[in-house]
Amino acid sequence: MTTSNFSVGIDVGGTFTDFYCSDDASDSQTCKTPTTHYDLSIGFMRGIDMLARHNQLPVPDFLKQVGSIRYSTTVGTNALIERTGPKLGLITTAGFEDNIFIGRARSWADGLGWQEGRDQARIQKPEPLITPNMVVGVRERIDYAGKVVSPLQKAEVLAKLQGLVDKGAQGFVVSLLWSFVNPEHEQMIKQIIEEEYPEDYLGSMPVILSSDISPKSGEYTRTMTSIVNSYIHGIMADEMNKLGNELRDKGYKKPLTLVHNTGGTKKASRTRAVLTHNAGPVAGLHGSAFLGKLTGDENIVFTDMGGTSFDIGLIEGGEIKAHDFIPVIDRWRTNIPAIEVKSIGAGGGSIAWVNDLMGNALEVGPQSAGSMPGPVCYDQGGQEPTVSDADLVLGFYNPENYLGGEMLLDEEMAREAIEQKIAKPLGIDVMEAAYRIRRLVDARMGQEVFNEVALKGHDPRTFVVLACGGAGGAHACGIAPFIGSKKIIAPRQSSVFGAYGASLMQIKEVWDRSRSLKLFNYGSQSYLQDLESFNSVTRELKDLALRDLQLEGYDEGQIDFTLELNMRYGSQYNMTKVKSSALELSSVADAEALCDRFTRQYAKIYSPEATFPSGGINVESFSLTAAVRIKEQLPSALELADAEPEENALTGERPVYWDPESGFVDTPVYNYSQLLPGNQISGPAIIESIETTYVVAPGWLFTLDGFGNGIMEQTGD
Amino acid sequence: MARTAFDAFLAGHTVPEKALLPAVEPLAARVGSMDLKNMMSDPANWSANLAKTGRLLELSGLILGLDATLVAEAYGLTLEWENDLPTVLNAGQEILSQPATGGRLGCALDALDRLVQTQRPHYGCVAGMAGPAELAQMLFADNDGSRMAELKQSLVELAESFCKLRPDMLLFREGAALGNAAIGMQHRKAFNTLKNMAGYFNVPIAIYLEDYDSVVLPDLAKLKVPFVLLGADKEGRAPEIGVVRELASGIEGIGVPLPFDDIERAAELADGYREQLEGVNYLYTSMHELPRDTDLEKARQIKEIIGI
Repeated sequence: MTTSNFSVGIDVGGTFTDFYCSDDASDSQTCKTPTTHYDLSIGFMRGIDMLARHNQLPVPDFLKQVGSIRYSTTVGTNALIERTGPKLGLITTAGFEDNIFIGRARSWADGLGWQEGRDQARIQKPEPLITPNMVVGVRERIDYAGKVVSPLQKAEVLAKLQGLVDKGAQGFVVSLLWSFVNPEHEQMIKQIIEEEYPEDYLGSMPVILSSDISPKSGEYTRTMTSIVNSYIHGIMADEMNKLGNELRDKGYKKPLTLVHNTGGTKKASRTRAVLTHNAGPVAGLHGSAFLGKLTGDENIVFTDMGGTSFDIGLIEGGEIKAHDFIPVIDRWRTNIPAIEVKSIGAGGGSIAWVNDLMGNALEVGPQSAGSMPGPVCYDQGGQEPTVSDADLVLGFYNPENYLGGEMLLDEEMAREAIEQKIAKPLGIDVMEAAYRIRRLVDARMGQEVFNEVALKGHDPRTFVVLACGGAGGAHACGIAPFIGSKKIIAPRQSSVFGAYGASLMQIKEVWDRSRSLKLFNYGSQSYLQDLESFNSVTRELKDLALRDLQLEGYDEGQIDFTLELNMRYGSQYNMTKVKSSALELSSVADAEALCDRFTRQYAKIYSPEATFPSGGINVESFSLTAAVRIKEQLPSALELADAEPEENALTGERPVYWDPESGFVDTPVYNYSQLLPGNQISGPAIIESIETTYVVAPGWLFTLDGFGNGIMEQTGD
Repeated sequence: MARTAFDAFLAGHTVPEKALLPAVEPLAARVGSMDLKNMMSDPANWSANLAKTGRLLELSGLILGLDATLVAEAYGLTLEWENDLPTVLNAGQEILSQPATGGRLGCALDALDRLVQTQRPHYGCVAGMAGPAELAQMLFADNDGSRMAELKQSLVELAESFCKLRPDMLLFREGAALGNAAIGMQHRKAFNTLKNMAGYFNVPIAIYLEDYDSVVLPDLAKLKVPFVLLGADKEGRAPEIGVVRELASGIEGIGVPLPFDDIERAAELADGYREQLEGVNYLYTSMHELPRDTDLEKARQIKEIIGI
């Protein structure tokens, strides 16, 4: 028996769990299973089983040949949404007990859609992860320079601790003022708790320090990051242990690797729970950057239309540049340096409804039918019409070839639901109702893509649209015109693109620290002289990174370090991220070069007229990224065949309702697997692959490139 | 080891040792020294008595909630208990739009949860409930399934609450309403939705059929339900083997009945099944639910006689 070295990427979505498997010979297989929210491991193992079958191997033999499994999971996110985490106690500085309840600026709207966020009359603060009676303040104070102003009293800590234990605390979060400068008091509290409840006691409880999880300024975001991490920590640990054991029992002996929202992967055992939130779309964005190298496109707007959400991310100049430094997780603003991917509630499972409060306006989403009960046409008990139902009724989907025929769709039920819930209340016929649903969701997504690109200061017309997700290929031609883009790439792996991206990701983590340094002093108008104050921070971060990655089995020679700094002019509020050319400053000239770099970066974003170097230039925080170097192998393109597809690629025709003017038009249907690189198909046409459907609208030309990607270009109006 | 044969049945492996899966709830009440009515209002005893009976008879799986009146009662019908067995009094009367999930049905859900949590490593745990045709017949006196669609949504939701407890199989009890009529589109639609919904939870569905006309059995394959477990036909007899073979060729596995009160006949039937169902994935069920007064000694001998 020949053996392969498979690499598997897995991405859990709201509706489907996607799998991508590649081997040494660059062959790949993909599959999708419904996301089993009641127990994610069920859908996970079903997919592994399908991949094993694809490779004609029993599961244990397949798993023995798998070199790595990279997994982006939503276990933590689900725990937050369902509020199934443990009862936590928060210990903070006396006088700041209400900090997390007061929040930060408009925090009551964090995590809400723009419509809900504007509805100030009805908006509600979220149910807190820690209730007010589980928060205690201890008298202590450390100042901004890290000096102890008021020492911690052990007796008081013990008394407060006992109070929390009596109220049923199952874990503790400790977040004190200025602990990111001097964590001494937080560490003392941890020691006290561990002395009182040592590990060999049944009552032993985890203690999470904010100075460990998030050593950065901003007590609200620092505390919330620690709380969110603690809240989902236990649930994720249980789930990962369960999954790890199941995989081990079936023959997989290597560690499970988790995808992080900071753009890397790490072993599950060495992952902080908070870094797994929204990792799937980040993996997709990573895959987009890789794909851009193949197709030669540097400006890409990555879109992923799944069953539940529509994700948008940007590749600018071939790189992922956008980070969100205070990302919202569920309803909580945190301060992890996550890669920015925007999500809106629009997907194949988005529910269409008539808003009678708005004069019977048709709305689509944000609610989704999810994987259970799913769209009406899935025939799992769903009753609300969705975008997928509309696509089916309009003729874009083949009811007998959904998921390669694994799931038979019921067109009659979809039609009936649209008629009853949409067409009749609006007084229109079923086809028009279905058409409007499709148009509306395309418009919502298209507008959001436009906003995302244009509001970041780019000309949307210079971007190509990467259409991913199970429903991406079916809606891409409806989205691209909103940004004026005339080129769409529908990758070969589009329906499982998050999983594909995950399979390409390297071991990487970001270490960051707040430290305020005047790189250019406004008062003296001079550059930083005490270079050690800068270098000591980067050395500390590098030591932490090395220690961590060495424990994963890598040595310094295999690791690439990148230093990024959050900088600002004098007393500005907003930061600008600047990449440093070196980890340490060796002379004052280096400090000057860094300031110049900041000014150039600032000018590029806000125009040269906005720069103000004489106002002073400060570094406020340091981010060190450590990534394990991998040899990136770009596949070679296949030779192109004739533009005309072979006869067996055309499987027939079916009536498709393109618009109310032309009604149903007999449209040629092609089998994706029978197309050859170089083949071209003019719209209107439908191209069916096992896991997705590509809709080539009238006026668009589909070309299969040498890598198996569908390139759709607008040729007419 | 008890559930190994049942696992093989679910996996579609035809193994020499066949699973034994009779419905035993009335007998379980006696094993627990209580009335069936009392047992069905006490989740702890319900699951514990089933487990005890499973151990006593060395069964491969335990069926909980096969009594179709459980669901009928939840829809608002009144029951009368006679000889410790329930019968529906007001069939065809007005019903609730949504079944009430408290009462005996709530107990069934709780008992199933306990059964799955405690017995799953040892026995196949099968959740039983009234099938759509049987229920439509009980609630609307509908014999041709024409009103089944009215129940579909609430029945799917009910079935979902059973599936969430992760039994090894969801078994729909059907009787004459399904077993004596031609399978129509309404039947196919109802079972298709139930199958898709249960598939999401990785729970295979099955039909338990009694009181049927053997002639219509092959038609059941049209429902595309993977497993069909047969009890006695409308004459109280075991089905003809030829018909069983025909039905089995269109589904993944079949249950064939044995009379637990007649050892000689059981042995004879088992020999027949062994000879004529070679290559077929099957297990043994009972002709009817084992009644309270089942001769336990005879029932225990079944296992030896059929050579398990």
